[in-house]
Amino acid sequence: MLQERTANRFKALILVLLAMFLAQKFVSGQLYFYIGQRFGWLALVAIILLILLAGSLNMLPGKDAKDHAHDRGDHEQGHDTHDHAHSHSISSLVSPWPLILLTVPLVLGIVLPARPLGASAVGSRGVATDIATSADEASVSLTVMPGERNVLDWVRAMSAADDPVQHFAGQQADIVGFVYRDVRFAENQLMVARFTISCCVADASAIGLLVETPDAQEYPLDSWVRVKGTFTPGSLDGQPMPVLLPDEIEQVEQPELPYLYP
Amino acid sequence: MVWSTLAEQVTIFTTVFLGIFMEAVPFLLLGSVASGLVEVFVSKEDLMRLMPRNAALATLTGAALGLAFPVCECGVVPLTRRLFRKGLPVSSGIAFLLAAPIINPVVIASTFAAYGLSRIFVMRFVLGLVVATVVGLVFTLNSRPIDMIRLSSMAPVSGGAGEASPVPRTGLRNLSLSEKLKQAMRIGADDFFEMGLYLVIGSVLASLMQTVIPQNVMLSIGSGSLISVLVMQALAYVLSICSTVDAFVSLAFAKTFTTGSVLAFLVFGPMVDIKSTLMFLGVFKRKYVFYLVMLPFLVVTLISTFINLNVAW
Repeated sequence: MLQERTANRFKALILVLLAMFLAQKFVSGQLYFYIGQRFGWLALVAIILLILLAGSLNMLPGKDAKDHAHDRGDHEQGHDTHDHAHSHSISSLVSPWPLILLTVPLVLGIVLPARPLGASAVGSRGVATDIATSADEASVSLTVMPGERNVLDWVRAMSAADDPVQHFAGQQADIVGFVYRDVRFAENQLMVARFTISCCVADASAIGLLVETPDAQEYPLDSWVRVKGTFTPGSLDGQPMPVLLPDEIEQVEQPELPYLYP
Repeated sequence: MVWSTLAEQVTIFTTVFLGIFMEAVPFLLLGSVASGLVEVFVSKEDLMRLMPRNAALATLTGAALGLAFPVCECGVVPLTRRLFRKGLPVSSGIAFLLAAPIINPVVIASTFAAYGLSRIFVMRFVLGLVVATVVGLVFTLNSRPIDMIRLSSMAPVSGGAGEASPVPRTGLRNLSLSEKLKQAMRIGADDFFEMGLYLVIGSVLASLMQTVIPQNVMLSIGSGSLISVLVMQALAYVLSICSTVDAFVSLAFAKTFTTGSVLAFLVFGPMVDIKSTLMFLGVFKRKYVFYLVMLPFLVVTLISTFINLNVAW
């Protein structure tokens, strides 16, 4: 149990640290490893509110604030004696658990490296080669020029087509994604995959396009590649699907926005 | 299947956990601040004047109150607790608690963005209103909020705001507007910590389960009239996604799952999930938390399964 005054100091500290944490994620762009791009402004709202709340905790209302004005010098040394001296005015005790638990996101976020979901996160979710698509979305994706289409645009267009295997044969593509493979894949196959998220990584799902190249094994799992090539009819584990035959595979940096947004 | 090392699993878990947390924190803050503002600026008399005398009408009003307080399920719990302290009738409070995360401007906008003016869009709000009102009315059989609410959560949280006592209010009356705002922020800060505790535990559990339970296992079960409804409710419960954005998530299931089950996801999820259950536990006595989880679950299961069996969509 904590004295309320001590608890309030810790609370203000945690609120400020949370605000700084969010600000750092926002400025570095790492925020979008965690939440959808269109919700970025919410982090700014959160930062403002966190600072407001922290400020309100530091400014104790009325009499207390005046009592404190003269002994501000004591603040650095001996919190405990200080708190006892005033415990007659505010004697309520506060559970430390909310404070401890709200440092968990701070600690995890600072100790562990910020990394977006990648091939290892696909594990239990699987990579989809089609996606639930409304007619509107499919038509939007189709207005994107084939050369400009990203993995999501292609997967959408293929989901909307009646016979994707034949329909897309001969079309040129230029896509960026991370390398994914699992037991179903032949030696010369890999998938260029992306996670799509709507709100935050909790609803992430992976989509991908199949690529066939003799040196498929040279591209490590989870590394980012840019593939330019032409679709041709093919299959994965017996299931017919368009396969991209590359003219060029280039290893690239992970993009600033690792996810795609349906 | 890619076999991931423990270190990789921990990183994935952390990413998902921080994702849920960062997405939810702004809404939790908004809810806490709303709660503080209500405490300072809304008097019990104002609230009572708004409430119809008739129990059924009061319950319906409670269910519609979310239109005035745009909170999601993270923010609704502290606000409801505050409203109970202001003397809101039990049935209205429960109806508000269950309906506000659905029937509010933000959720209406996001659901419209996801589904357009479709049956699912309309039914989400109709069903939400019905379920919240029915469960709220069941709670009228019970007595006063004080019997349901944990004493510790009614205890003074800040500035000596006593249990349903008018003392802080008369004290506040003399304060200037800026002092009142400051006081509202202080109360909001306290609420943020109390509710944040449950948000953190809930987000940890939700992301643990998401990392551990294969999603395709849950999905492969999905097209039976009853089982799909149960699965989608379980999914909504486990994922604990904020109601302001869950419509987008449900789109992923709209093609493969029955319409009733998608509706169940959109109605039950905002009312009850891991995160909100834990928050309920911080406010209500255990017995009533059980009712708060089971009653919406049963009513939603019944209606959604009925829709699957009898309405050809």
